[in-house]
Amino acid sequence: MNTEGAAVEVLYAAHEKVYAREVSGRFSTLRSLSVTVLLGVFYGLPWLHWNGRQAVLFDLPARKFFIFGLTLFPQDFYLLTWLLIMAALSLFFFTALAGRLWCGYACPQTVWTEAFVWMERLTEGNRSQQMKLDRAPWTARKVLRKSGKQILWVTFALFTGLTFVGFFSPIDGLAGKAFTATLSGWEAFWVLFYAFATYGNAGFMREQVCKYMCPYARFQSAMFDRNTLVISYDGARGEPRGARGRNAVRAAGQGDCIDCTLCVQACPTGIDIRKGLQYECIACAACIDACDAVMDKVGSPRGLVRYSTQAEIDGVPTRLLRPRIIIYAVGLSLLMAGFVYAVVHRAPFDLDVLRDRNALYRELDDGRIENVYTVRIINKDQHAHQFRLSTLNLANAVVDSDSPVQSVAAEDVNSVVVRVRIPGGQEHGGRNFLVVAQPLDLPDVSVTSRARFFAEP
Amino acid sequence: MGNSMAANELPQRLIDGAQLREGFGVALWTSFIAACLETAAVFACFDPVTLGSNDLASLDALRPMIYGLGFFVFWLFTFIGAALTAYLLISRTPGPASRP
Repeated sequence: MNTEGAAVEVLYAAHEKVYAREVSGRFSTLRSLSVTVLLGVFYGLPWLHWNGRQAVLFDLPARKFFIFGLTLFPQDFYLLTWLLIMAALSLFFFTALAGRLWCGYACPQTVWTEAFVWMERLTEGNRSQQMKLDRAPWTARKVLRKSGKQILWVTFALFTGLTFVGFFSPIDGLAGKAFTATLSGWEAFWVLFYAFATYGNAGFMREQVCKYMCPYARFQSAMFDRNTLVISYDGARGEPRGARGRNAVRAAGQGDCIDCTLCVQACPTGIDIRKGLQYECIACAACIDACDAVMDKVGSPRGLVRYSTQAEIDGVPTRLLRPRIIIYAVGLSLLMAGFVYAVVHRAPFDLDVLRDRNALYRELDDGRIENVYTVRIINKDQHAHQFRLSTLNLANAVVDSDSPVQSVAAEDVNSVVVRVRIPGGQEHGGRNFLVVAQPLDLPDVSVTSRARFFAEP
Repeated sequence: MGNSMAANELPQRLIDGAQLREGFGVALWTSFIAACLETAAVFACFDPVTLGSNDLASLDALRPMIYGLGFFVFWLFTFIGAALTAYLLISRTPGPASRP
């Protein structure tokens, strides 16, 4: 029983804050660039305008998604699902090819953590200054630095929350309302909700999100093989490791690793890359930058820690084209081609027919049978159209509505109450038929929807 | 080990607070993801305003509230499922096979 107790203790060791050492180098520059571009897109996109409206707006009250020239309606939901499948397959493809590129450079968790860490360094200083500050008693200086960090973090988190809600509610009005504190209850709630999530994930949880919460971190190893690009320590070159002075003659047989532990200090997840590939590694390449700088100083070639493949480390040539790469690539290309085709050849109109739920059918004074429907005409086109409604497969049917022609504005939906009447005694029970909406200006395009007509049994 | 346990001795409690907290966190998170997907899928298929009555258009302003409430209802129920799963896995008495 004691052994089990000990195992539990090891598995659930108290969390210690990771103070990642700041590094500079090729990959750190690349990551900064990626973070800047991605955050720029996130914060900038809602402010862009297109044809007099917000360029990217997921208008939930109106049930319309605007993405530049494209307007998506709930009927196009399959496109979104399709897009998600493509995103998943791209993730598999890039993981098999080059490991956890996503984690290191593009994952929102990484991107926002980078931004929060940057603000932390701005207020609390570098790694050793932060550690010293945390150990120090609560002096006025510590309070000042800590509250400065919190003010930056909270402001940035609130701005992030506001931007997020700005994708769903026009951001021009939203920003104005935020400054005058007149946000509606739900808007305010979601701004705070998202701000809280950003603050918690990027300020406090950080690498723990990757270690304990991220499903991708757990299954990404299934996509790995010996030819996948991973960050690895060249043990053959580095070992046996040992400290030595600048330009000092190294002891016989000593490897290139001087055991300075800078690669460990730079790691945002707090692992030692020299112990081999670990699932906590998010492939941010901070250890490569740290080690390269040290190798430059001690006069050894760079690349003791580098992007490499297991095959290369073992001295076997790396194969780029493997079956899994080809399968992922072909699948992804097919899906992409299909997606583009589906978007380009999307029907410009759509029709929804809902039966009136109050009455199955109604007998009119003149003996005719009437069914009532709500017909929703969806115009996805960039121009307004007028439609005439008719029926198919229902003999002698007369379509009656409040106006003979239905106008639907560009990228809009019009709901029309329609009464369909047939002579009494013609039908018994239920019968399927089609409702047809014919745009007056486009004679060879029409849109139909199935409906059911009921008469006395 | 377990065989030498006296008849009136309670089996050792294998759950500790840290495991429960982690289980709670994981359940909260996985159910959040599931609730997001559920909200998107359900409200893409059904317009909440047309579900209730035939009184259309006038209720447009209600949609964000219904989406929001729907999300939290989905989150609550998926959380119950996820939390129970986590609890059952954590509180399981190890069988002979899992003993070292």
